[in-house]
Amino acid sequence: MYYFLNQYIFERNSGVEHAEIKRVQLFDAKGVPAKIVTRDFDRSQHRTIKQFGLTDDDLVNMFDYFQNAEHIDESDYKTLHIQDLHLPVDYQIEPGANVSHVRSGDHLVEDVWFTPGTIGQLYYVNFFDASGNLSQTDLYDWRGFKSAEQLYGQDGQLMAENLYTPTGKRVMERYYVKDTQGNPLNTLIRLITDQDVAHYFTNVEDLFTFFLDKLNQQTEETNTFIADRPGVANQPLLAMTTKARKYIFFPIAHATEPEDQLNAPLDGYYQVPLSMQGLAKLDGLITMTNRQRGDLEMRLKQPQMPIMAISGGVIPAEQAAKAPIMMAKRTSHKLLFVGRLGSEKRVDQLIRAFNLVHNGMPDATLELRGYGPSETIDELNALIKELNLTDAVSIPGYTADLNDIYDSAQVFVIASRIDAQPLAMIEALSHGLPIVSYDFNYGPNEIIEDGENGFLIENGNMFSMANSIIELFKDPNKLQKFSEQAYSSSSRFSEDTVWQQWQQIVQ
Amino acid sequence: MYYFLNDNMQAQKSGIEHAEIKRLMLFNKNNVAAKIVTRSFALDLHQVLAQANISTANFINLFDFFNNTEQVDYQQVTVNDLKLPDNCSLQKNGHDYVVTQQDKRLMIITTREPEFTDLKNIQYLEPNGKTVKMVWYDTRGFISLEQYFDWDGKIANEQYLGRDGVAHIQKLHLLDRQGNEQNSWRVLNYHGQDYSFNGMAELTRFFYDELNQSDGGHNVFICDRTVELAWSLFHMETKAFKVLHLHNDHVNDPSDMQHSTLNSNYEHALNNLGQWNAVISATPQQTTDMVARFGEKVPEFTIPVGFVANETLNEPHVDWQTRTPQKLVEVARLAPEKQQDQAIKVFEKVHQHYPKATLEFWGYSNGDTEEKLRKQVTEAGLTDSVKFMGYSENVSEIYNSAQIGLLPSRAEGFSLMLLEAQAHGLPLIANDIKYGPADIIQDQKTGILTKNDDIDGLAEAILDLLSNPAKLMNFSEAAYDNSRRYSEDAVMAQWQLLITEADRFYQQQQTVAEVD
Repeated sequence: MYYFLNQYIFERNSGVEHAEIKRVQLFDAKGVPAKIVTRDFDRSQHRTIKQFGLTDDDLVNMFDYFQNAEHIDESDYKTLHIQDLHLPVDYQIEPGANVSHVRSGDHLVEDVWFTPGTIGQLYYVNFFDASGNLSQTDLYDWRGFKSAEQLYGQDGQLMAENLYTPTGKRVMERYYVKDTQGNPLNTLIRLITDQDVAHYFTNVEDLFTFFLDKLNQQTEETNTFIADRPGVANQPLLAMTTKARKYIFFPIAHATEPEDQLNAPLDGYYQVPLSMQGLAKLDGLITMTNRQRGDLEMRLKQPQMPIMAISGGVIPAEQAAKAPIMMAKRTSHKLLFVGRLGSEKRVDQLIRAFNLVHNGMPDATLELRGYGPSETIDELNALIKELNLTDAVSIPGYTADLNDIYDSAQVFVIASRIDAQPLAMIEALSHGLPIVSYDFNYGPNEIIEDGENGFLIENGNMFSMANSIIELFKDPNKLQKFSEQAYSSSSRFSEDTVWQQWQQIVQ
Repeated sequence: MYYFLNDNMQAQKSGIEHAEIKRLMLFNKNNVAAKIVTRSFALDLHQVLAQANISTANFINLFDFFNNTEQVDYQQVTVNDLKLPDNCSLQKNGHDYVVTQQDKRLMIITTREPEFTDLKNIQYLEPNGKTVKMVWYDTRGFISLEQYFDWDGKIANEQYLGRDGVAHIQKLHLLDRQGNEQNSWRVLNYHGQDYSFNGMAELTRFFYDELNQSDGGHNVFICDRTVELAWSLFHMETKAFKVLHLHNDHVNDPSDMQHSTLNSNYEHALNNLGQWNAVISATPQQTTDMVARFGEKVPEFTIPVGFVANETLNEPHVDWQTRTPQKLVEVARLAPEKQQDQAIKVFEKVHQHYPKATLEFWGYSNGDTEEKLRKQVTEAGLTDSVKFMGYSENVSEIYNSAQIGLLPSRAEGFSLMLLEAQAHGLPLIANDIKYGPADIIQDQKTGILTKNDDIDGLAEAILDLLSNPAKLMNFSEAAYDNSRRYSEDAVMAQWQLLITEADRFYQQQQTVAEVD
């Protein structure tokens, strides 16, 4: 079994999750058993993953595993409503769409909250004492069972959490103390395993390591573990005590200076894995680009273990088989960016470059797709307003299915400071979008054939970027030619090509 | 079913608990179904019951009721039964154990006295040394209580568990608007439903209603602790026959029965007299006083507290010569109203005439009373003659070995002590106070009634008896005789009147229901 180690799958995900989802689907397509492993407690997980086309077999969550809730047949899901809460008949319910208040006489006994987007499906229940203090929260899993209860102290803070199996057996207790910022910090975990033996952990990382060893021991076969989310997976992978094939994957650049990946200090997540002791426990490193692989090889002075480049972006066969969409059929002069709206993406430069385009071509538009911290989005909106671009630049928010959005745009633009491989760029290519991108580490130079399917722009030169876009927009024939080249060059990221790269590891 | 309502049942019992246990014995002998009902939580409740020979069939506790642990067999749980993971180490530390993991204390395990083998509690510590949780073992060998500690180390949540390992009762310790701790309660998964209560009184009310419905109704609730329990009884939602059992004088000033303020123990109960279906006093004197003040709207019954068992009545009389000469005993809680301080003062005088005379106090102390009394004895230089013997369940031996029983209380409801001492042929000297002594003792025949606060009079009575051994012997024989007035049959006949009243009540209810 191949295990891809991560923290969570949310409704809105970063590149790490998208790359993993594509990877596990690739492994599925090739008939090699693989699973995404998530660490965090998430009672909506099994609802969320379906939006990404994943099944319960594609994923194993640590808490599900300990709560005996890995596999619940969809036909056994229970849609729990307030009627399932065992309320005494003389309690009065004041119904609401999001929350119903339950009272015994004058006493507010509990608030029953419903899952967003459902009609009255239980989400969580807050209980109150005689003075209205929150005493407890019961959390319900999407699949229809009480998954956890949280207990609060006199100070109103979370002090303990008990986790249950679908049949109501308590299997885990988590205790919280105050951290230096005054937030709850989980410093003791009591795990009760099958034989009623209790195991104790002082943090969730150690529990994750214990879990990985358990997963590894489920069968006799030699398993492969690939740590994808560095902050969550690297350390537990190294701390595993059982034998397995262990790889570190690089979803980000390894050093702290974007332009100096050879000498700048290592990112904190990689200092231990790339030390002598760390490397000794690993079977290999996986980068998404050849350039990062080369940089790592030079840095580590030809280590004993293989460093492999395997593209994170994979173009699904279904997309590759689609007929090309002509540029003339798309929204004229529409630019698209897809990615996290964070500062490292330098979306502000993109907007300023677009402003230059817009000055000469007032019908040009820019759509920014993705999510980010609200402060960044506020800043971007302020900039858009300042440049009088509110009619031309839009930030419509995150969506899981981008196919129609790619198919309606004419050029993909990106001005990031750093990346390990912009997955959206590869997706854009597969939808026939020419790409105009700064030449940053890592990815653009291995995706863009300069002057063929896009333009590689000198890093930071927004005038050059604007000119390249104008050049394409002013010459419809060139734009169409570039688009055709984009379609054809995307075969470098086809399932078969990427699978070929995986053969370095898959036995 | 007859339910005798109390707050708790501890190893050291006051007169009220003894009265209930006696009553239970009498009901059992007469095949009248009865149970003592308590509502306080105790880890050792069932040990206490076993020691007091109370069958679990005759007893029900609120926590047992909701946790379904009324009948649970003892199972030994020792430190060897804890399944510790390999990376933990267990060290013995006196009678306790410490479990460490990575050189940090993880658990502190306490064992139960006196054998120190059974587990008593386990304290869980997180790596910074802060206690996050404690679990407590019932003496029957299962975790019956979990306590959760908040960030400030306060117990904020307690969960009471059944043998199934599931919490069916939850006690919250959160803060009210004044910042004071308040207790709210929840009952979980009881017949498939969860209930919340603003306090113990509400929970007790619910408990009584559930109890009342669990055996088809027609129950009689005899309330032996009104301060704690009356509110819950008054607010029951189901019909029940409710009886106020007085255990003490109902007024503060016995010299003005008609107008005195009410004894705080009964003030609420008597201000709401109409809530009761019957009132029990232990003596005719109190019944008369009650009727004189409150009328007869609520039926009054006079039923002695306790009885003298047939076996005791049939026992051979103790040979007077085998009793320790000049030995006086007072068997009562060490408490201000029992006036042991006066007994010591009086004994100082007695001791001057009879240096071999001794005085034994039997009973546990309320607060610091014992400390004060011991100081008084030391100051009087009587440490060789006056002894503090502690609490005993075996009072017969005490009564059989002494020559005079002393009870200089300022108030009583009845005094089981006098009843039992008399049944063992012990001549008694007691203050003629409300209520009990005048009813039980035949003055100058089985003992001497003295005036409250009359130290000299009390001393005289003792000296009179000690100086006249023949009189003492005669008193003893008369005491044996007199106790026949409290035989099982005699006392049960009094109870029968109340039972008839309760039956009548339920027949009426039924008639009303049929008419409706």
